[in-house]
Amino acid sequence: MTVSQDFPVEQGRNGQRTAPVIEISELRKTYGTGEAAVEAIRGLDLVVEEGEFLSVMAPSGSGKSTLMHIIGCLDTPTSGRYRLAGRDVSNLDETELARIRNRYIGFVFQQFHLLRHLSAVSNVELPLVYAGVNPGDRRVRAMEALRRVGLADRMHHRPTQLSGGQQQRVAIARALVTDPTVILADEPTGNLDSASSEEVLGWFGEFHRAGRTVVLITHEPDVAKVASRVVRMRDGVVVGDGPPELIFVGTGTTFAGAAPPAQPQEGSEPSGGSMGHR
Amino acid sequence: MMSLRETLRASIEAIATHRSRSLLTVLGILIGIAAVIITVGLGEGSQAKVTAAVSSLGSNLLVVSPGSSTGTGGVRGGLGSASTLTLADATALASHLDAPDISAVAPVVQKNEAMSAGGNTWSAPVIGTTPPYLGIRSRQISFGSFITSADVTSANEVAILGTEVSAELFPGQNPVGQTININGSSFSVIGLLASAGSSATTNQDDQVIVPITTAQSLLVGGRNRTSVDQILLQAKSQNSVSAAYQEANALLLQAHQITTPSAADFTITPETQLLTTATSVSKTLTFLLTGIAAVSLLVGGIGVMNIMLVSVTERIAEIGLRKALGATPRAILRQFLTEALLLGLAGGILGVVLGVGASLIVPKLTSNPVALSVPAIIGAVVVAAGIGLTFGVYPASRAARLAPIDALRGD
Repeated sequence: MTVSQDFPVEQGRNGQRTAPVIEISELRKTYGTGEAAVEAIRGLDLVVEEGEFLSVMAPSGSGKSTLMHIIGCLDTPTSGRYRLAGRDVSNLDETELARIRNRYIGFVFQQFHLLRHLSAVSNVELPLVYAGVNPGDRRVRAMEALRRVGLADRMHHRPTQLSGGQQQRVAIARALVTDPTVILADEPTGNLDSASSEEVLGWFGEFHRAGRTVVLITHEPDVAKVASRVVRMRDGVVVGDGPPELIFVGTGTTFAGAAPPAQPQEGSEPSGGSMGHR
Repeated sequence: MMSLRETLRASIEAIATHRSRSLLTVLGILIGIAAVIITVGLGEGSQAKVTAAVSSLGSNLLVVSPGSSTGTGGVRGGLGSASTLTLADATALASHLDAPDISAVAPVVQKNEAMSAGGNTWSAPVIGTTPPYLGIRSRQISFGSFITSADVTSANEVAILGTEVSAELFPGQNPVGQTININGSSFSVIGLLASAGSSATTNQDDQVIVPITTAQSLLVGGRNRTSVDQILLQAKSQNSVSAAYQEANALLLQAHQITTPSAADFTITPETQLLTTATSVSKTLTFLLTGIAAVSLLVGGIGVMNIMLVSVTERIAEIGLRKALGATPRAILRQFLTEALLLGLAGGILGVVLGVGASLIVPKLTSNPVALSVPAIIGAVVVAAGIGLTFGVYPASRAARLAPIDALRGD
């Protein structure tokens, strides 16, 4: 597979120094008020440059989901600053955030989050619908994205007719189809068997080599170490940041610090499948 | 921005995906709309029936009765007592020169009489009148002929029977050519009235008509032989009823030598008043029925809201995903509003189909006529869509306000 042709990136390929894709400083997020207030993120700083493949590794309950929501513009910080692609997005309203998500972020979720009543290609078209792309172009781009992830022969299958790995590939095609600045994956292998997991992680590696910025959020060291840079997070702050070989010393799957290796698995319940319409 | 077509497509997809739920929602509206169409149809039908019945009595009709009802000059020979109206008054009113807006005049005397023929006896109102009576009352002769001017002039002992009288005295026979005995006098039957049914107060088929002169000499006996009980006037058209009223009033005041109109010894009542009363009763009924139907429509609307709320809760994950992928709150609002609108519209159209169907069947099962009005049908569809939209606002705005993270977590 000729990666660089399959996943071209338009900006920042000429070696010129551009603004960081993600620039977070003194980020705080508090839920609730008064006595019941819980501080999920307590002054976090993070800079991600164009083309980086970063994994945020954190045990559950450490503010990992909160960080993912803020990076994905699904939520806003209580204080601090977040610049995405050079633009301050800390204080935008719902409508502006929706447009930012549509334009800059490609989400890949643990639960795949495909719409059960739509075919694979219609699912991939969804972000383009909200981007205002006309139906003809939309279909062409969605089919192209599905072809890239090797699902050309499954375009018109419903999610229920696809395996977990195939569903996640549809979700990846959906994340790619808008040509986003950042691909943001939240426990993308959490519902997959090891073979499918390896395949999905392989795709992220391909995207990285094609020059895309990928942020992978996970609690599994085995998953985290496929990235070129690992950020360890604990209790709402960054406790380690570097290439995987520095973060994971010795066995390679054990934390360098005092943290125990395996936390209670977040999302370990086998709830695989598309979004439920009961 | 999502185009209207896209929104419509997404809404239709959602409705089609949740078929049974959509169907149940539509059902509430459907029943309400059908109920409105049937009740409005029934109401308008009965109104038309009343109007037709009253106008069959002659809607351009004015009735002159003896006595005053204005009452300013004290009691002036109570209504209907010692009659102040005479045949001469009727003749004066029939003048086309003095009363150009009066097209026909028929003086009437009326008395209940016992009658017999062969072994059969019966008792019925006997009406003494003149030939114009037939036209003024919009009656038809089914056999034989009506009284003629010659019958009136020579006070011939001839009678025309109503169908009920004929059935009592001559069961199963044609009465024309037979003889009946009324109050000791023999009358030959020269005609049979076509059935006219009964109005609210009188059975128009249970009567006998004779020339007014005959009635005055043979039947009303002791009373003033030139006086009449009523004079029926027919105006040229419905528009000239009030002109006819003026002319009759002036002529009678003059004939009775009365100078102050308030001292009149007669009363002229337009029959349109009867029409007004009857239609207002049926209007009230229509209003009431429509009110009940409107309540059922309201319940249908609340049903839409209920099911839309369930739908929002059930599709929380879908809403969250759409938002994550870039749907603005406004796009979500529009999608759910469009869904509610389509459900309302579908309910309206299906309700019209059911309502019109029932309106065609009901008259076959009962005697109630059902009138279908196109404006009511169009109105019903518009109202149904409006109800869908109105009751869709709350669920839709709830969907639009959902925070994407809560929504994504919701599955």
